Amino acid sequence: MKTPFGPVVVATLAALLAAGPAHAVGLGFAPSSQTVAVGDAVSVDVVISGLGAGLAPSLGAFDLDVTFDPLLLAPTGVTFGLFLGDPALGDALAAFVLAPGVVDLAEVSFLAPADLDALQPAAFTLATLTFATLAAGTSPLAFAQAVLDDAFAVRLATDTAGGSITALAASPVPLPATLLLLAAGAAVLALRRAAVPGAASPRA
Amino acid sequence: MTGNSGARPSCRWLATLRRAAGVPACLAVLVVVAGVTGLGAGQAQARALLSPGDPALAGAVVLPLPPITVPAGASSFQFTSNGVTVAFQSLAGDAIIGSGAPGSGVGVVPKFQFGFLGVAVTITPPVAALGFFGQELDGPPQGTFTGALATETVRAPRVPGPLVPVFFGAADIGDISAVLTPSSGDSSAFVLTEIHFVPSGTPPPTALADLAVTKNVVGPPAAAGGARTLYSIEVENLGPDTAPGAQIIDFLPPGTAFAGSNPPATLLGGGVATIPLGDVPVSPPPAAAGVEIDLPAFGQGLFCESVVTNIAVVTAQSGDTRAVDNVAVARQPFDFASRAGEAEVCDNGIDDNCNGLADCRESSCAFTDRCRPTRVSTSLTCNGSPLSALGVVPDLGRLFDGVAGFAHPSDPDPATRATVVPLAATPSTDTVAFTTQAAGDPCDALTWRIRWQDASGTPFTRDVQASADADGDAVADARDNCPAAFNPEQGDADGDGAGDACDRLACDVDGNGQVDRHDVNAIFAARNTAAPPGDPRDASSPLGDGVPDGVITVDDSRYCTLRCTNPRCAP
Repeated sequence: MKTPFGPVVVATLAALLAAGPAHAVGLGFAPSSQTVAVGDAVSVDVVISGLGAGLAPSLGAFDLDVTFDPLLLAPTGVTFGLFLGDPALGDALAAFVLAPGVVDLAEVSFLAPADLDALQPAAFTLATLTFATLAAGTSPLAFAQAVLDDAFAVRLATDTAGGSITALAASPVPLPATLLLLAAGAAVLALRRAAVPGAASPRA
Repeated sequence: MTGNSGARPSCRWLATLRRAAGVPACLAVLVVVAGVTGLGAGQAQARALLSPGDPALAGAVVLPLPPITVPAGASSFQFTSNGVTVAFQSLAGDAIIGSGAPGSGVGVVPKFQFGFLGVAVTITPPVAALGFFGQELDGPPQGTFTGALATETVRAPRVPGPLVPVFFGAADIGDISAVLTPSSGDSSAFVLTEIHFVPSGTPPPTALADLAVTKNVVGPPAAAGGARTLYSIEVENLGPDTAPGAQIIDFLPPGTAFAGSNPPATLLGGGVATIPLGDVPVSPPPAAAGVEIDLPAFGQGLFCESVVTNIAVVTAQSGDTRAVDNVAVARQPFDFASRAGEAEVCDNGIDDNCNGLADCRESSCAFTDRCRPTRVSTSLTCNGSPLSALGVVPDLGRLFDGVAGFAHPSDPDPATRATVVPLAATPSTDTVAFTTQAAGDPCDALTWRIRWQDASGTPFTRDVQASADADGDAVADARDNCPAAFNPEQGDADGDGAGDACDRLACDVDGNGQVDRHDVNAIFAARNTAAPPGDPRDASSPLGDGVPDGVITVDDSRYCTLRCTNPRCAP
């Protein structure tokens, strides 16, 4: 799992907070857009913002469908965050389904509301999605379904923001710059020697 | 018999005149009638003639008909006798002289047929009195006699029996120049044997002309709502002489109102207007006229199948060498497309939207009070018990040789699983028996879908159910031990009368009496699926209020974690 509070995440969350109404939580991607080479793996965080940060509301469960271009991306995995409890410790139930064009991920916490309030900051990563890039192009990322419940199983109003992943085709291997400089220096040196008489052969 | 003298003033109008002139009322009537109609003082009023012995026909000329030279099948003919030319013209162009056995089929009797639309008779020069003598075939004949001053519509008296001699005619309406004999609903033919007429007192004409009339619909199309329609009329004089005192006699379509004409017409009553043309010289150019009529409202003389028929007859004070072309007919079918989209009125006997289905034959009228079924005797039995005893005998509506299919609405393919019975044209009794495979006796709780169609292919569907079954588990609510929960097995482990489905705690999916992570796991795994009533997995709505909403979601998962028996939903 990536660090949940990198600069890009903060910027994304700030944008979400600025765009949405005060009572709605925000849901988006971090980074919201990124560019990688075709064939590289790429990951993106699903982030929530606008929670109470030690107070209600906190998040008790979610069920999301993230859509993307199946011709450009292939989902390879989902890693859930720990702010609804650690699924490995039996504090939460989490499940995901990877399919062409959509990732279904859901989690429900077994923790009590007070525990969730204490655990969760205002913004954090729900899960990290990983993809393989299949072809060059830009795939949008969007939420086809976004169900977020607070700790008391009441549906939270949500403002969603999409994202994108751009895959670039691999370019020919460039000539290293230092090699170019070395070749230019040698050429200059050769010209200077040709311009000075007798320079072609050392004095006896 | 109806007498129509359109030029006669009303009594109120006469009273006004009397007061203005300061003369007694009777004298005023006499003077005004004589002045308007042109009849001499003391002359009888317009009247029908129902006997050849009527004094008005004293000294009449009697012509035998039809002339032996007229073949059967002719649609027009004319003949001249005693200086009077009489022309018969079928208005629809069909035969007006038939032969065969009228009524009984015995013998061969030439008969005068009214044809599809009737026959127009023109008399040149006009005569003072006119009557037709013959034998009634299938109803009393009638005719509208048009004189110079008025019209008289005369219907022969109805006399029981075949081939009964009848006479009908008219007099005292001015010189008669045309007769229109419509083909009424109960009279299609008449064995015309004699024409009786009294020549006019005016000298015989010296001029000789051949007038021919044509009539066309200018428009607009005949539509509902009192639309106004314009007709154009042209009269040609084929010579050899100028036709003096020519006029068009226009028989307006029944139910319509005269709206105007050019030249201005005189209304004679009885739906007849005369349009003076004056002296018509030898054509070209032809004399032209126009007539406007107002159509009645739809359903009041104007229907989908109506054909507005306007007939024009041209006459003159000259002799006519060929009078059969003195009649023209303009026919205008009702523009039934103008009724598209109109709602069907189920009980007025009219096809209101002109789609060929009137009243109860229209699907929108099915099951209305005026469209009670003619077939109510289909009985259903289930597991040997008649469903009719449970009050679910279905009203199948008014049926016309269709089929009915019976199936359960949830059957995925009712066409193959349904029971189909043919329907008779007349009411009959059919029995459709069902055998259920569910436990108990669910017959009354099941919903039976009955589909049928009438002969026109119009489909109908009706679901019938004897007893309410809110949870759809085929157990009637009255017998269901948990009416709000789908529990066809009706389990009741503790024997308290309330079914296990009602005993079960919300969220307690496995029914072990507590809510734990196993239950939550089952709910979580089933998220985003529908839940029947009473399903413990459907524990709440998005409001977190504990009210099932019919769908299992992550909301239910979280809601149930809050109701776990042990902390963190430990088992």
